[in-house]
Amino acid sequence: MEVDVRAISEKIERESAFVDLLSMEMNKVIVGQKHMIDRLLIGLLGNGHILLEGVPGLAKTLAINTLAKAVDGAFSRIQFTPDLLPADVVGTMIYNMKQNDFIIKKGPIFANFVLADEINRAPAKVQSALLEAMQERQITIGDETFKLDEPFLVMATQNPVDQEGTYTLPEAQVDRFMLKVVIDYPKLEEEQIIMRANLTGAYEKVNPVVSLEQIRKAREVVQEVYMDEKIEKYILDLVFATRYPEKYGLENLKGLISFGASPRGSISLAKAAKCHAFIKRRGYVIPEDVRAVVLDILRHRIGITYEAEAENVTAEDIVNQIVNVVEVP
Amino acid sequence: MKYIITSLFLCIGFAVMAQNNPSVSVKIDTTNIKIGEQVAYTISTPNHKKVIFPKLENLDSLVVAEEFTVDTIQDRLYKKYLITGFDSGAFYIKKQQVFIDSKAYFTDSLLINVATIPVDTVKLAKYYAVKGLEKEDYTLAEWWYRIKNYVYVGLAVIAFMVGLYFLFRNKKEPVKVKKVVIPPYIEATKELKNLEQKQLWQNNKVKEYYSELTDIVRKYIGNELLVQALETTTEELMSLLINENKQQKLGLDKDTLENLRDLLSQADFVKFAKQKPIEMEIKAHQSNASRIIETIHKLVESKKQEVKDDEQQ
Repeated sequence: MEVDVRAISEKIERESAFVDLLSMEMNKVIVGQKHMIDRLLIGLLGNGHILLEGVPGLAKTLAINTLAKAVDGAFSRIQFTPDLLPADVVGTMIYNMKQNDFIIKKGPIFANFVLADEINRAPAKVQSALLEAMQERQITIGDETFKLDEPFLVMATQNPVDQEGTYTLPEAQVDRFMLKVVIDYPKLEEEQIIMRANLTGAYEKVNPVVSLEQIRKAREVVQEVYMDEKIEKYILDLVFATRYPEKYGLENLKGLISFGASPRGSISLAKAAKCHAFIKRRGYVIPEDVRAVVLDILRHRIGITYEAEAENVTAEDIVNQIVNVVEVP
Repeated sequence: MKYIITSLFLCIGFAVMAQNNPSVSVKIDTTNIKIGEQVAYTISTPNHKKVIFPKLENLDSLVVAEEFTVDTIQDRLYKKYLITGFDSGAFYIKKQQVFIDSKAYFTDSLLINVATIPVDTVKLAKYYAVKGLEKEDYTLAEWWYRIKNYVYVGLAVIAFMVGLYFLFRNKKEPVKVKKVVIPPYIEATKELKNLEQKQLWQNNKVKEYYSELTDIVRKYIGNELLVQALETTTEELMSLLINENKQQKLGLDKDTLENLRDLLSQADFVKFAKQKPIEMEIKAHQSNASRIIETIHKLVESKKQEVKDDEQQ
């Protein structure tokens, strides 16, 4: 089938108009953190979920809250604690004395935007319940199955500090997050603005500027973004280099990687590259799009060995090395 | 009356003794042997849990040649000894003490005659001299046992010599294949010429043409300016080049940089967005590529010349 890239580009030009609106609305309350906002949009458009890692106070919660308000979607927040139960997340059946019957009480996961705050503080069974819902996009309570509303975006946060008494997410479950975004401190000028705004309470009110319908439509358009075979090959080369680094002249990485990215990694990388192209108002993917998202897509999908830990080599270092070696088409 | 009572006591006494004796018996196969011959002496007792047989000591000139383990046949235990004597005469094997369940019982004593062997010196026909030592041939195992240490030492010496040989032998110089390093400029112009000869865009292979064209330009930039050009995207390469231009003071003009940006981004359109440029555009891009290579080459050469001149001064 012949793909008309020009037509796609025109369509994207029309359908992506809300991206600027959304960014502007979010920027009313979030200063800086452009990277995080872009990634939230990628997650939203790519139908994926996001794992945010950053020290407390970097506006992780505020970001998703603002996004929910700006998109006019239902938002819920679950604070993960060691005593949390799966029923507290997905819901449960409760006895109704009036009706003399059990009724279903839906949990906070039934929302468009779910913030799983400090996901690594809850035990594995709760994490597992959430991650299963993220994957299946449906919940079964008792003998009834409910489809989750679209768009459904889970943004989980975790702290890189204070790891005592936490339950690290297993690799298989981390893989279900489309992106892992590491947030850093704001710049000095940005922090000055944040400080002033907080002291004067000068934050503007966030208004809904995008409808859920627009998001659904945009998601369909994202799927149409043209990806050339050369870009596909480039994505596969990057992913395969995490599995077989020696084939790409990276023998030094062989002993540092315990496992490489899964096929879910290739899929997510392709999806995220398309979303990035969409945000940049392009109807086709270029290597820049892949490069822009590769770190957030692959950093949590690469297992590092003890040797790597001993040498202070992180998954990010490995991805950077791979990116610097694999030839761009 | 007295006689009756005495007989009665005696009968009762014997009867009691007869009941307590657990019938320890002794058997010998012969009582007459010649010097050096052996006689089997067997003590048998009823099969009780705890029976201790004697060690057979104090046998005068008799000696125990062998003592067998206790054997059980039906309900009795048998302990067999082989006794021999090397002096002629009559010798007693005294009563031996056997303990059955911690009680001592005695065997009967026996007399054994040990006779000498009569030697008739008259009938002896001939005396033979004592034979000398005879040499026995060694078996293979004996040979090996005797020579193995020498063999080991020999092998170690050979291994050492071989090691020394390999260590100090005249190493032949490996034939050095001189890799001909083609200057990047010559390589790039040659590749551009080859690309034109392939006539890719003329055969509707525009995408392949642009891929190869940009690869030639990128490769040239990478080799000439020693930057990672093939592994970077268009934008990355441009910013890299701008940086290099500043750092190395190459003197790349704005036009060349813009031309390069235009070439690479147009190539991106063709490669990734299915854009099909017209013939005029393709030719313009081709000459653009040649011009960029030419310009960079000239700048690098003049830079090298400057360095040479500085060194000479």
